[in-house]
Amino acid sequence: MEDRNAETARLRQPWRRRLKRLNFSELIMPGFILVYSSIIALIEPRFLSWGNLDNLAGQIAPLLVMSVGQAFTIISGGLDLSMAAVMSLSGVVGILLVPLVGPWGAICVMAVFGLLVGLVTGYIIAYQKTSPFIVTLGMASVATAIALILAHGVPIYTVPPELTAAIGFGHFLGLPVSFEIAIAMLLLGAFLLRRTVFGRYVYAIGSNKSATLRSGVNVSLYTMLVYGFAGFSTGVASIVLTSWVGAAQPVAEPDMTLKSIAAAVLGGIALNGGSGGMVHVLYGCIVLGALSNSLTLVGVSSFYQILAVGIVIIVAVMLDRVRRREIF
Amino acid sequence: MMSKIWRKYLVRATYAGVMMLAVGVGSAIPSAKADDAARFLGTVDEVVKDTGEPIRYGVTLVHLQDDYWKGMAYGIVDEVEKSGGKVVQVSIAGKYGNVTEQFAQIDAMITKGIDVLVIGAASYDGYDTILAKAKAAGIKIVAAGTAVNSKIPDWGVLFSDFEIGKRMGALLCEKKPAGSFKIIGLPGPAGAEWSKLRVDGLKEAVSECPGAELELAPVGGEISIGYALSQTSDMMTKYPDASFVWTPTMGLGMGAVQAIRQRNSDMKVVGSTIMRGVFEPLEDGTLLAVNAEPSILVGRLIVQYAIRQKLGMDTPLIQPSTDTQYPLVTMPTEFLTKENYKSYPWEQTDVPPADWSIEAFQ
Repeated sequence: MEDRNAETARLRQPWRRRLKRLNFSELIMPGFILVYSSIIALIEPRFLSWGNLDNLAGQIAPLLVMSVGQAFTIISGGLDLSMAAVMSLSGVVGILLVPLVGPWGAICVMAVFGLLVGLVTGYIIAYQKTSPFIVTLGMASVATAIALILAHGVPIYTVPPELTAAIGFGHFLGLPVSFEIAIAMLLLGAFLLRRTVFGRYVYAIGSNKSATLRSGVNVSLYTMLVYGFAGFSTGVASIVLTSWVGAAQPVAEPDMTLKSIAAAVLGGIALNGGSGGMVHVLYGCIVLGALSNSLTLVGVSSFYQILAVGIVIIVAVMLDRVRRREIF
Repeated sequence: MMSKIWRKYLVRATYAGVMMLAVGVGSAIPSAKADDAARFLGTVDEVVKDTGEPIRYGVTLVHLQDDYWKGMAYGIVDEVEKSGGKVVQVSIAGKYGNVTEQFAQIDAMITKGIDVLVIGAASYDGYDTILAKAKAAGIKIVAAGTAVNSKIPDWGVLFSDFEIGKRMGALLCEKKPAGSFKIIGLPGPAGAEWSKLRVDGLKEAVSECPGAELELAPVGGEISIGYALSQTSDMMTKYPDASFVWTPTMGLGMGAVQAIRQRNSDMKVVGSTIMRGVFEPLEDGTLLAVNAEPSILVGRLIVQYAIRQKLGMDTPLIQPSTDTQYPLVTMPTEFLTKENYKSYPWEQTDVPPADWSIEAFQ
């Protein structure tokens, strides 16, 4: 009895609780990143140069922001295939409104517009009892079409230089501002997931939707809010991307939606929902970004790059199964 | 060999002269003829109108997400409005490689009934069956903007992609710093014949340029600004001593420009196809030159020559070609630099009006 009390007392200390929870499986992805980076650094020492890490941080920022929102939809048991399209549309709308609202107003427009589109998508999914796959696929077409109509099909190059200078090129405390925005989004995501009722319900809905419903949780409302947050993250991603590339493109980075799903799953978020956290999003984005960057530095042909990315995703999913003790 | 070079320079000089003359004449004489001459930059001696039963055009292009393809669509639609005829349908494949989309579109156009099919092919190969079907329906087939590997088209209006790549490489050689120098090349999308030919042309120019080294980035899957920005940044990390970045199209070139600006580097970019965003980097010197590909003019020439063929008039610009299995109008190109871009009539020849959209026509 005394032993049990001592153990309970020990576990009351948060760092001990975390240490106990930390097991080998949680070290797979950071271990992979460390080993991979070391190997690449041996082949091409410039990979770990400050200049390249700065470059890498800027490159993964839009994906990281988008993956935060995507992670919420996946943890809740859904997914959002419209994110890249909504990101393009938010960017186009924001830049078109610059003459009316100014450059900083345009940033707010992009974020709020993304949020509103996300809420509409969430409303259709949650209250009309429709499949997220089909609704977000449809929303992707709608958003792309509206972006093409508004931009007359071509990129808009009138991004205010203040935005490009501050967010696209800017550095604060030695780090790219775009990456700092991405980290802020990641922290916001972690806070919402771990420290709020909303976050607990997101996990509950993803784990067992009908049980959550029977527990008296307003599942429809929280599902709508999940897609609202995903929309907000696409809006923020559009701010980062538009400032970074210096243009609002009606079809910007169409592959980024799938990359955001890949990043979340690769990092360790279960595709069937109910588990995972923001640290997994970070792992996934670092792996995807570092793969592309390092293979280009090493001089690997893009065909082999595509092959490498595919193999890494498959291996990561297998490791995920190992982690869950589903195989071996 | 010498005669070929002289001929090349003669063509360029004539084209440049004609353009300047056309712009000058266009602004001085406010008549219909002057307007005709200006919009064709002197490439057509007499602009003819469609008479009798109007020609029905069906158009399928790769996409309308850059000023090159959008300009071509605008050129066709606007010229049909001015010279007569009817555009039955303008369709797009969506992206390079979407061959089956174009098959379905061409099938629909055959059913609707058209006289001339304008095809900006999404792929180099694979069109024989559908083009044979169109031909059997009595439709004239014109290849526009990108070559198609078939002998069925009646003629085409194209740019020589190999020559474009080679000319850009030669320009870099002309502007090279003393001693040896490096060129970072972004080869463009995998599987696109036009992109591969431009890279081949660049390689040949580099092989003929003493001291030049070409460092090609991996072949990519996208033509997006963000993709080119990342690829250029990575290549700049690997080759920080490079002097130039070469891109087959300014869709990628704008990403390269942005990467150079972000890193405060003094590398220079050269790319092809004009878009509205090129003038600022031309002015600040990040963009050394952009190769103009007057796609609006391509559209206008297609309509004008279709009318001429219908009326039995001569078509002197259509010449046999060794590059394709059908005769071609090979379009001239011109470099725009900080020094000359203000005098180049890009709004008439390369970039459609900002507010023009295909839905305005359809």
